[in-house]
Amino acid sequence: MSIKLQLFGVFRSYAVRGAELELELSAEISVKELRAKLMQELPGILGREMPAGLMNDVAFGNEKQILLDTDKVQPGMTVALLPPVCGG
Amino acid sequence: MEWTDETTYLRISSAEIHAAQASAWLASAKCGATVTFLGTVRDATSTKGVKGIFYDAFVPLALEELKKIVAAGTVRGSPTTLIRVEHRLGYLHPGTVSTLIGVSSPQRAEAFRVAQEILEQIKRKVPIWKQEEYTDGTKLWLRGQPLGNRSGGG
Repeated sequence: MSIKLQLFGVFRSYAVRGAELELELSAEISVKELRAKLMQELPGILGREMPAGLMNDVAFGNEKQILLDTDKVQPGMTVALLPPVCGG
Repeated sequence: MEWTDETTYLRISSAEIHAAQASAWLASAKCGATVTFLGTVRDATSTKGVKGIFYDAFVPLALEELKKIVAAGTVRGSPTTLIRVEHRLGYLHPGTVSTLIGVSSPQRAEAFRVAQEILEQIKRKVPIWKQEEYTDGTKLWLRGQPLGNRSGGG
């Protein structure tokens, strides 16, 4: 089982191919746990280190809302990885 | 992608921004003041020449966040106030309009205040990112504001 992560902004530069990647996930976890899991696993998946502090500032969302740390992520879901924003 | 109701027009897309079209939409006999802000790609930062800026967005969520910003009871004061926000996506050259914020209100103070507040909130709350490409050939995703209130508290 896995989840799909949609990549935006600076994460597009780190993606090996496309704007999505899959992350193995066997059971439901919280957004806070997902962030911690990605801090551990993302450098290995992408084949490079992330800039210091970036993952700590990342938010997660879907097409309707930004997720709270206590929200749950289940296998099969698609979640957007949202780095700090700078529109306008 | 766009969303509209009687007093609001929001668009996030690669389509060109036409200020005259926005002015016509913002015209109302109920409103004595119209403020239109145009954000334009500059040709330089403080240290480098800029060749262009690539704008990226999570469009469905960006539109949802824009709706929250301009919803009644938030920045909008008078119910007759008209708000139009357009944000471009894709690669834009210097001199190109990337952002339009138009506000028509009964009074000028509200029009100025609302336009500025919308811009400030876009910079903090809407999932849009930009990557500057410089004349020396380098590129940089600009570091912005972390999104969201992770705990859900006030």
